[in-house]
Amino acid sequence: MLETDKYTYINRGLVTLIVVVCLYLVLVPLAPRFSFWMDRYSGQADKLERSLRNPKLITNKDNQLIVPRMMVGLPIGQDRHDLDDGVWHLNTSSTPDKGGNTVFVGQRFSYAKPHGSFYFLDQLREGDEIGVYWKDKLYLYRVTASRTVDAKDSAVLDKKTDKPSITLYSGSPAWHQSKRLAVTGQLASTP
Amino acid sequence: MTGQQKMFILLGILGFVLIVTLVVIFTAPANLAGQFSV
Repeated sequence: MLETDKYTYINRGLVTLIVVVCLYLVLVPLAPRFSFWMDRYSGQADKLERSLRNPKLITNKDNQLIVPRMMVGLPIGQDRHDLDDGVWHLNTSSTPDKGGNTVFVGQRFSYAKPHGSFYFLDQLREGDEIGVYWKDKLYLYRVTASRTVDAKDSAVLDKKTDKPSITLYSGSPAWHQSKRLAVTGQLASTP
Repeated sequence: MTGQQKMFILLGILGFVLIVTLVVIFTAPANLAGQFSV
């Protein structure tokens, strides 16, 4: 009888542990959406949009990527390791001041870092604004296309383009990343 | 073997699989990082 009671208690503990772990695995991928709503509620998107209209509102003078639709306003890193923490400028691509294709790479989702900088990259639509504050000047791009490509397809990363353009590059789908999502835009203005 | 003991073995296996899954997903490098590694 005592032996049965012991196993009953242990089994209850194991069921609780398994339920907690399963809930964690299911809920963590949704956490970035929750923080996205919170940021939107707190007016973060409006603040980012205002900074695109008026670059004087940008107090941090580091190079940075500003995408209101994705709730992104992050400094641009030049080192590959910046890819894990924010936005990385692919150093084989161009830069906004030189024309051509400027490529920025960011992570989307991993359990270790659920809210990657490009988690909401798939939310960008044609006409959405992408701002790049680069060497004290704001370059405003508009999204022209969004496409999923093979991981080995590096054509979207080509440096040369007819018009100054931008490519935001990340994995797709967010939790598997077997393919790549490339959102491209063209320079609209430099306010 | 009682029903509770059988359940214990089943839950133990399930718990072990879940713990291994957690370890794998936390330690696996992101696919994207591998593409640009030097």
